[in-house]
Amino acid sequence: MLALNTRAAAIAIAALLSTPLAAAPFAYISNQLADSVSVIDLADNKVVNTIAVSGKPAGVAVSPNGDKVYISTPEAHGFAVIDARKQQLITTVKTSEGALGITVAPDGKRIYVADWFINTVSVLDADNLEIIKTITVGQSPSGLVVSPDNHWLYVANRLDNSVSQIDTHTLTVKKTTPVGQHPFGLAIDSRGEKVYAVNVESDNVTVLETPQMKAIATIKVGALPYAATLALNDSRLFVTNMDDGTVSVIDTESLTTIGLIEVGEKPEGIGTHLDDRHIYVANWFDKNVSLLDAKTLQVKETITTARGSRAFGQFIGK
Amino acid sequence: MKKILLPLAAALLCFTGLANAHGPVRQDTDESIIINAPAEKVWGLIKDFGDIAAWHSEVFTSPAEGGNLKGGKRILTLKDGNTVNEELKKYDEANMSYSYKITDMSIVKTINYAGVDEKVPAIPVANFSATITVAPKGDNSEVTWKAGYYRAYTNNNPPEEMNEATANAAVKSFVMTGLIDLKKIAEQ
Repeated sequence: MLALNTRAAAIAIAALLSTPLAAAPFAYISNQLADSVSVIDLADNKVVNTIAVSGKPAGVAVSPNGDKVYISTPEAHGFAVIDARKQQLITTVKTSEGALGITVAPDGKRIYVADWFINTVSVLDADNLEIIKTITVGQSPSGLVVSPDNHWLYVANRLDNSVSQIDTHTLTVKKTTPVGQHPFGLAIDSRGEKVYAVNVESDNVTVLETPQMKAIATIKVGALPYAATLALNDSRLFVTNMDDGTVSVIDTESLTTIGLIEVGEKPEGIGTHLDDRHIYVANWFDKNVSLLDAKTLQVKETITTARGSRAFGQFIGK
Repeated sequence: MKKILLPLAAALLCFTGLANAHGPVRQDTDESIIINAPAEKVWGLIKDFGDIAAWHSEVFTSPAEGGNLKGGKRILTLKDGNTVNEELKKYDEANMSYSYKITDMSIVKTINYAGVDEKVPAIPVANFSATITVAPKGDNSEVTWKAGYYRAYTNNNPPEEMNEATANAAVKSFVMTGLIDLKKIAEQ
């Protein structure tokens, strides 16, 4: 009896320990040179876990329900899948030689992986992790975003100075529009009406009206901009400037720069908290993340991560 | 100074500009050294962007223009005759720190790899930027020199002369040599 009780107690404890972690929002920061992912609990902005991911992790995409995190690993030629609830690496998938940009569809059913070297986007079924189709796009595709209605996938073709629009129903390129020089990161508004392409070499952001793919404005930012995110009901766009160690703040209505925030050295990935107000910036050289308040434009906190923090993509999830 | 720079700039037109593409993984070098001399003295030795030839033994000459202002330029001629053009990106006198990037380099050699002629630059890197900072440590100082860059080869599967290990070894060697030279000079 006593033995049984002990066993029952042990089972109860085991069940308790394996209970999924509380569903607070988390940020998943890829640390490329440390071969790891730092998990930041956004309730208190502390790193709660560091998950080893080999293959020089770079791109990040969190599934819409927050269950899975996909991390591109260019040197492992594919991506890693993290179970977000258990915060464990569960599998790795090979796609192609230079997997970098990665995103997941708004319904969570497809994963898109851009290949830096062979100029393709691989489309995978998120359930069985098999490649459905490989689509040829422009040279050195990097940033990827899907429209909120799940109809369009946008791809920044870095060396072609263009953005391609892929119809997700037919998985074919519908249109390719020139932007600035070397577009890398992309951001899309919550209504899917505007795509912002961050042009690394021309130090500006091209605003595309979508789905028509019409370039309506070019906004000057700092030196070597990398990626962008929107906040406060899409009213402000925040852009990381790698060479300046700053974030440019753009008013999306007037399309003018209204602020500049000093962050760490070589700021790269940037993402918005689910509260639509707090912004997280991965500082590659400083091995940390800056937390900004989109309202006050102040740095609120700096969170230590690891070597080569990149967090390229949509790295914040439920 | 301009008189020296103009023919040099003209000569450099013969060299191929840096490739804009790069590999998928940016590399870093982050080195520091403790120097038994006050920070002001050490900063005084390196604060002029164009003065690197005076303290770095690998640099033969370093004519400059534009002073210590953002956009200032210097051209390093290395001991082996190769050249590296650099531009000042940030200058912070109060924090005894400046950042710069490589804008052009001479080509050391051309190798045939995967059926293509590949040009190996003076320092086998791409998209190189760096920051050098002097911090007081009591009566002494600590100099930190950190750099971010990609390997020289922009496509997949790099040749040995242009891979990450070669890039890291070259940058580390250049940075460490400079830091040790600076320590020797400052502690004299």
